[in-house]
Amino acid sequence: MKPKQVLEIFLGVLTAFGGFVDMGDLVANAETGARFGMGLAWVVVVGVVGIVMYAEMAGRVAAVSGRPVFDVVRERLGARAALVNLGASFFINLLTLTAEIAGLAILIQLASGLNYLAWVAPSGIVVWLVIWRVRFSTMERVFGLTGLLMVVVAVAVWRLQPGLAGLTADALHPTVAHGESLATYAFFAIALLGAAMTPYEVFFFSSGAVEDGWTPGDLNVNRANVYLGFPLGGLLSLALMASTALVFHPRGISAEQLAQVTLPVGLGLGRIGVGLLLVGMFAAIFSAALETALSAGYTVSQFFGWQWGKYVRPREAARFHLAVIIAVIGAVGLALTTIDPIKVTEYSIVLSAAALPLTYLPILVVANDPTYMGDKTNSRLLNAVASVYLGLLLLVALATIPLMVVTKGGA
Amino acid sequence: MVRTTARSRRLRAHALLLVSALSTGCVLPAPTSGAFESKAAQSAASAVSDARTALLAAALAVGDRSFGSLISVQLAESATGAASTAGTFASIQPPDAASDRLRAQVLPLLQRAADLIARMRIAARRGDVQALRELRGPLAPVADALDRFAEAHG
Amino acid sequence: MRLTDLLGCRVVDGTGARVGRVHDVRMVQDGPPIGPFGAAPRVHALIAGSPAVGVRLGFGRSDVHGPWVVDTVFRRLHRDLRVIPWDLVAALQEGVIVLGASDRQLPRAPGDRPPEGRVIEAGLELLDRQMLDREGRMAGNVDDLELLWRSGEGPPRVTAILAGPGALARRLGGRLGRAVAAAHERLQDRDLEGPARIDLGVVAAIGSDVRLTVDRDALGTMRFEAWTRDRVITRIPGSR
Repeated sequence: MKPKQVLEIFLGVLTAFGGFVDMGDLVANAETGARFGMGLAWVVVVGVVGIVMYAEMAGRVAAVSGRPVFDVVRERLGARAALVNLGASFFINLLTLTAEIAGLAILIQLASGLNYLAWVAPSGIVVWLVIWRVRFSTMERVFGLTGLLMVVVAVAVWRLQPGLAGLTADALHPTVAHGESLATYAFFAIALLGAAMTPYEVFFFSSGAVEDGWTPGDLNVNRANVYLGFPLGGLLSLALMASTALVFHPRGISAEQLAQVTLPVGLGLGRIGVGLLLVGMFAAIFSAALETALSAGYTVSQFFGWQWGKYVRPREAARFHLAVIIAVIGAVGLALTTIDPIKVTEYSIVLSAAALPLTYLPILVVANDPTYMGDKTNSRLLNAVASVYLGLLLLVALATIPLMVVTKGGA
Repeated sequence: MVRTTARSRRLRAHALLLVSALSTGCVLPAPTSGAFESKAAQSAASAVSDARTALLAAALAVGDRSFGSLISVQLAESATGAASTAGTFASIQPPDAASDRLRAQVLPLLQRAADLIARMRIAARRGDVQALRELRGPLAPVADALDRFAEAHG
Repeated sequence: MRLTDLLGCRVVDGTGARVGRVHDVRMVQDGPPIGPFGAAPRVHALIAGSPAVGVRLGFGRSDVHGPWVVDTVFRRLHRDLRVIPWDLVAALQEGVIVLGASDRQLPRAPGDRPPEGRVIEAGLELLDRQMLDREGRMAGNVDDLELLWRSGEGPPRVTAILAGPGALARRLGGRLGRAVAAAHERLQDRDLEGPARIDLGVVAAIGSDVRLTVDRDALGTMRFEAWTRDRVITRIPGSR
């Protein structure tokens, strides 16, 4: 392989790594670590394997046929079912975007002291401006790579070593923590799964494959990004969980505010660590906001067959951009109702988990269709694992609403 | 225009209310002794979380391991949380004498914690590191006492 | 007539017994070619039965093979799908298709292949596909098909692809469909009627997408796009 190709793959992996964590991962992993120690670490592993598989399939389908996820969803489910699917996906996307934009506003509050509500609209506008003017690949790279600064969390965990042996024991023998019910345990497991396997990530990834002009020759780049980048992102999620497991769990502190996530890093690394963390968090959440807003445009446009994408000028994809604008305005409006951003995040990840089968099944079927994929259909091993996940996702989808009611939203 | 009967509209409204109430964990007044005890334990646990977060934040401020604005925001959130916990618990009607005793035991602790954290917040806004250092002393045993209470009755 | 008029119809056999609903339409390309695409497809058979879940996925009647578990589950669900050759259709009235034969005589899916010509299952291979114009730009989805049927002259023949809200509204049906149709009427030119119509003669190929031989601006599917571009997008600086 030529050095230029190696550099491309290297940068792609790092971008996928740095862009992996979003508001949902932050909230889910921090809260879970504080309440359950490392008892739910295995769910992150399950979630990462799931998203790796799902994204690889969606990326492969898009690279080989040029058709991203929602095109496939409409074709394989029919117009009516796909429209219901679109409604659900758009709503969840909107909740997620609200959470990301509110997260950005909170981070600015942490740095400036001014109430976060004042920063919601400016954050939304800046997110939209970047989508409007900045090139797709530049956007991905800059924010993805800057998000890598969040690695300080792993460094802080390493520095806070004394509890590390206990941590690994906890992770390997998962039990429901003292004082927590099985239902709450299951609820947080679903939240973690939804945070790792967010649908918007797959919409974005497969549409991004078309934006970047991937062909069947780029499948190795696809695989590298996914097989290396995402698991590294998963490790970062686990580091987040470990940081609150080490610092909050023994003290009986529950992590329900974004500011709290910085405390363990302050403890382990001091000012410099916290500063780097804030920048890294901002970049990672900003990247997620971009992806979610674009996904809102992608899904609607792909359902109706409109021209979409940043690879054409805005006036060539007018309806797509209108959809993005409406999504951003909607999210900003929702955030300005002073709804608790952490609660919105929790709802978005839990509902994401419940909605996964809707988009997962059509992709799984198409990845096996020879008229679409030629000889690049799924291997038998992949199919076997993917079927297990389909079963798991269906179970999760059925259990989510009852668990949400029983645990009163994870209280 | 969708035609619905008055009855089905009422049913829908009730169902919506039920689902939203359950899913946001809204507070209903504690009717029984057991419910009051568990509410007391929950409030104690919540206050422990706020108090120990405040202690951590104060420790970071004293050791200059974080930023002033961050610490201020954190302490403000913890103070609001603790005050809200104390206020909500104070407004619940205790159903019997045993509950009265529980209330007498835990409410002062909740209020003391809320007060100390609020003073920490004020000190942080002023950049008064010395005051933060001094406030840590009284807050830690209050947090521990609340923790013991929550363990005993949770 | 449109394809949606056939899809979802109840099918009743000669004795009055219910066979199910039409889930897909099998077409065969035979006859004189009308363009780069070949001959206009004519309806060869109806695929009908009772189970509706996942019929669009195509298990059990095509080359689609999924993971073993998914495959098996759906094949079992759809094992009662029937293939109804068009010549068994006696009458089509008000959403009900009456057959001139009994239920027992109907072969199960996938059924026999017709003697010659390419077979296209409308729901599986044509409907809801993305259309790309001759530059490879997106030109809308295949929302419906226009069929030409004169009774006594054999099975219906596909004459055009229908796209846009005017066609989608009928597919969706119900209140939702009416809302979409109302929105479409507001954006229509006064002198045009009905949905955007793409004659089959401009279709080059059908695969994972539908390729056309014309520019998308020559089709009627870009009206909302033009409106959005002129009223909203060009007013925002930086749109060029």
